[in-house]
Formats: sequence, structure tokens, C-alpha cells
Amino acid sequence: MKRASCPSCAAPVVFRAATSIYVVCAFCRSTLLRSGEDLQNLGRMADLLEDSSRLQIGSSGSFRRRHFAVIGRIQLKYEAGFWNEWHILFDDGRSAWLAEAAGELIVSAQVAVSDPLPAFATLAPEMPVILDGRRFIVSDLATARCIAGEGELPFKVAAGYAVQTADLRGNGRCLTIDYSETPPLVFVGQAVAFADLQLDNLRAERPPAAEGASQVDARAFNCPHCAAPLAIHSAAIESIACDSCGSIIGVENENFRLLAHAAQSLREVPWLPLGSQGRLFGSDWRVIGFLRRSGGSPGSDYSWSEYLLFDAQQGFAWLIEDQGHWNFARSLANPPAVGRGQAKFRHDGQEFKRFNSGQAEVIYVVGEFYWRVAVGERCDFEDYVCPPLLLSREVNAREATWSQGEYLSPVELCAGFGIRTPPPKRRGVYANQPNPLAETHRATCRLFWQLALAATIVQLVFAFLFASQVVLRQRLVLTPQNDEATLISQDFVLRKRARALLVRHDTNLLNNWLSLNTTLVEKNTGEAYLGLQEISHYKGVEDGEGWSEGSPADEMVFQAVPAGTYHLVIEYELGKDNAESVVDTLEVVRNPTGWSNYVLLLIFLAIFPLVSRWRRDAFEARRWRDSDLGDEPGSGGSRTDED
Amino acid sequence: MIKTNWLAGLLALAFFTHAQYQGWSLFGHETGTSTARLVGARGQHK
Repeated sequence: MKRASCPSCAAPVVFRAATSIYVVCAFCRSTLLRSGEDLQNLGRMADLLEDSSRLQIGSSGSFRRRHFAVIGRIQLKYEAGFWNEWHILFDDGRSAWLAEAAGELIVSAQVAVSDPLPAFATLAPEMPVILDGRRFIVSDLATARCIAGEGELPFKVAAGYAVQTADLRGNGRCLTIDYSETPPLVFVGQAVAFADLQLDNLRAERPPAAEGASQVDARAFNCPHCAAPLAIHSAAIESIACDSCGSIIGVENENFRLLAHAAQSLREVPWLPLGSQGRLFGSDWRVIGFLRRSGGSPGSDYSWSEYLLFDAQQGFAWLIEDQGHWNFARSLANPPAVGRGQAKFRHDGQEFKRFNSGQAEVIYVVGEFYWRVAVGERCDFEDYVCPPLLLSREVNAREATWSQGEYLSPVELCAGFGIRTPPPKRRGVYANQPNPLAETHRATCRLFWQLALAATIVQLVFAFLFASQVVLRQRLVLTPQNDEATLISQDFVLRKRARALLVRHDTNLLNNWLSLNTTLVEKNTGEAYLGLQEISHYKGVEDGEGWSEGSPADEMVFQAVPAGTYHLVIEYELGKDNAESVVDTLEVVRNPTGWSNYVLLLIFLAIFPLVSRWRRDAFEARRWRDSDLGDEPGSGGSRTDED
Repeated sequence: MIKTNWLAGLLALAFFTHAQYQGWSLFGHETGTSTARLVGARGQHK
């Protein structure tokens, strides 16, 4: 560590990293070059833009169990906003960079690459690049401009210094090629969560705004075309579309430039007015921009609305309204590596299916945007769904971005923004609208299994605890007679009342019929119960094919038979189709346990999950009807069904 | 919806239990409920 005094203001300055060549004085902002034991003052560094970062020089943290301290920062601005590159020093003396952009944190370090690097001009979004055997996809091409720096830096930083960078992603790694030097510098990094860095000595969080008060500091100015009052809510804002005249104004540092005056013929009144404030997903958001986009399938005149939200802590987010359906979307920090047109993929443990693709065009804008917005701006998009999530890929000539949307019910939206007027009516089933019948189906299936289990237990109780009892088994021989014959069975005793008494005849009847008139007689009281059975059984071979009709066995049940001593009086008549005698095994069973009721109950219970499944699938069919992959591929955007 | 399913399922289960207790069967051949007092019986024991 080297300590010195600022040659300009005599304030103490410290070089903690051996690789630090420059330091910006924290008091007078002089840029000081280390030259041996001397410090050379290169002039005053420009001021940093105020941002909502909680990091500061002196913050410390841990990455992969290695402690580090924040010793410097470069602030850069590009077309889509600005970001911080924090210079961090590990305890082992190595330094790295902690990039912080739109809430995303990436720790990266410079690496040597043996493969030749592609020229910046040859790169295009989604282009695969192989470096040292690893495949990366170009996600962003930017020409950034340095705003200012502070603390210790390994190279000279000056405001306005232009840097061409290419961001690539692959295998969970982020790769940045910095074309500001020759040969270009390559940095490999990894996205990390804020909490995982275990950061310490952070800037204090801004206190929550009082109710009704604005949480962000707005910079007011007048439209250069119509003088209407306008305001900027974030230093990252690059353009503003005037609500009064439709002009689009570019923001360049402190200056405003008319990019397109009164260029918009279409006028729309956003349902959610600009300036509306609401709380969604734990953050306070302000609506700062609105744009209407058209597109979808080629040839369709489908359009939807997108509201740009801003929160000083969280950055930017989107509220997308489409056919009365709402999505809350944010840029995806760790996008999936998915080829164009891929049918499905897994991301964060969930399977996303391709739903739609097409080209989107901006047809109306109003409010503030973090890029140079323009009417007519186009991009190709692809939507993948895993309700309630929706992943959208948008690709233009400069970048390929992914955003993740989450379905928001109109009730949640109105509650979040305190709106009492009814929102646009929902039409049809949206791509990532949660299927409310899916949970109903799951609950119905659970109910089926619970009731089926209960029925099985009941059945087993009847089968084993209230076991059936054979009270008579007797072999009878029935001989052909000219007239009816009568047989009387042996006596049997019912010690208790029988809820049911089953009489079963199991015969060897073949190609004949048998008529049985059975009378159950109580021996002492003479009480009699009558029953009639017809048994017929025929079989043979016709045209080489065997056939069979009827059954040689039959059974009948006497209900509620009191205790007593019984016998059966069987009057029978045997047909003349076969002259042979018939052997009948007579069986009397007290309280038989039948299985047909059990099967019938299971069939009845199964109707409920089958119906709920059909209803759930019908909802899904309505969803996929509007997809490129649905039954009606041309129907994207022609939703007509109303809720 | 699910409450209706619960109610219908429980009723079905209760009816099933009662039917099993009574020995009812949709496919079984039940005799008529008519009874008579038999004065004499003709026939033979086998």
C-alpha cells in the first residue's frame, strides 16, 4: 500500500493495489498519475452521475469465499442507459471488476485468449463465437462513453472516452470483449446475486418516500417544439416523447435535442396515466413511458401496450397490456442459450414452450425511455411460456435481449396502483395466463384418491371383518323329467339375522336350459321366501368358429332373512334339448361381500377427475389456439372469446 | 366446485357402505320380497 498527498489539495491518497496507476482524489477530484514516488496531476475528473447504487469506495464483500474491497469505479453510458464498473481488490492482491447494470451484478477478470478475436464490425446479436473451445452467443453490442471515474484505477479514465464492447453469454458465463485497446481485452465473469456477495459498508438506503410524495428527483424542462412541461426521472433516460405534440426529444447530458418533431399521427391515451405510482412485487414503481407496438404474425394488425416503470432502487421494468391481460416484465440477467425457433427448453428448473414469434414495430410513444426510442423501431420477437411466466426474446441489429414476464391479474394491478376504474376487459386466454382449472384438477385428483382409499378400506372391512359365511354346500343331480320335479336341500342354521343370503347354483349344464323355482323355508315357522331362476347354456362351433351363449351358473339373493333353521325347496324343470342329467352344486352364503358395488363406486368417483381434466385441457386448448404451434396457426391476434 | 365434489363423493361413499351392509348389488339377482307361509312340502332329500 502506498500513501501520498494530493498535489492539488494535500488530501491523503492511497494506492492499495499494485496494479493501480491512477487515483482520483476524493476531495478535489484531481486525476493523479503514479510516477515512481511522485504523483502527477492530470486535471480534474468530471463529476459522476448520481445513481441509486449502494456500493461505494470502501465497500467490501466476498466472492467464491475470497474477501475483496471496492477501490475504484468507472461510470459508463451507452444507448440503453449507464452502468458502473467497480474496481475490486482481493486480499491476495489480485484485482477484478464488479459490473453493476440495471440491478445485475457481474464479477469479471481479464483473461488471456489464444484464439483470434473477431472484429467488432463482424459481430451481430445471437452470433456464436468459439473462444478457447467454449461457445458463446453475442448478446449485446454497444458503444459506451465514459462519464467519469473515482478511486484507484489501473488505467487512465477521461470523460467522453468511447469504448466499443461486445457482451457474450454462454455456459453460465459472461464474456466481454473490450475493443478500446489493440489487441482487444477479454474479461470473463459470472453473474452473482447481491446477497451472495455479502457486501459490507454499503451506502445507506434511501428512506421510503412519504405517502403521496415523489420518490425520485425529477429534472424538469420544456419541450423544444411545443414548450410543454416535461420531466426526466432517471439519469439513464435517453429520450422523451412529448405528450402534447408527439415530438421525440433526445437527452445528451444536460442538453436536449429534437429528434423527431410532431412525427406521430397516431394519438393514444394510456389507460395507466404517465406519472401513476403503484406498488408491485415489493417495489414502488412510477409509470414514466408508454409505447404501443404492433405486429405478431406476419400480415396481422395486432397491437399491444407497454408501460415503462421506474424505481430508483430497482431500475426499470415493464407493464405489458395485451387484450386486457397484464404482465410485469423485467430484463433477464441470466438469459437461456436457446436457438431461434427452438420448441422448448428448461430455464431455472422450469420448462418453457415456444408460443409465438413475429416482428414488433413501435407505432406510438409517449414519455421517457432509456434508449433512443423511435416510431417505426422494429425487432424480431419470440415468446416462450411456462404459466405464469413468459420469456421473450427480442432481437434487433444491435442486441439480443431476454425479458421475463409474470402474469398479473387486473385485480392485482388495480390494487397495486390504487385504481378504481375497471381495467380493459380480458379477452380469450392469454399465453402465460395461469390455468385456474389446473389446481382444481389437482384437488379433484387428491379427492379421488382419498375417497378411493376410503372405499377400499370399507370394502376390506366388509370382506374380512364382516366375512361372508357358507352355510350350505350340497351336490344335487337334476334329471330330465316330463313334468316339474322337486328337491329339498339339507337344513342349515342361521344363528343371526342375515342381511343377505345368497343362493348360488353352479351346474354342468350344456346345450340345455334349466328353470329353478327356489323357496327358502324356515323349518319351525313355515315362513317362506320365493325366488325364480332361469339358467341356460349353449355352445358350439359354426363355420369353424366357436360360440357360447348363457352361463351354467346363476345366483340370487334373499334379503333380510331372520335367524332360524332353513331348507330350500327347489322345483325345477330341465329342457329337452339335452337328455343328460345335470349336476348342480348348490351353495348358500350368508352376508356375501360383492365387489361390483366397489367397482361401480370407483367408476363413479373417477368421473370427477375426468371432468376436471377435460375442463383444464379445454382451457389449455383455448390458450394454444392463439399460438404459432396451435391448431389454428393463422389465428395469432384474432382473439374473440370473452371471459 | 371442489366442495360439490367432496359432498357428492362422501354421499357416494356412504351409499356404497350402506349397499354393502345391506348386501345390495346392481348386477345381483334379488328375489322378490313376497313371503308366504308354507303348509307342507313335497319332494325328497338328496
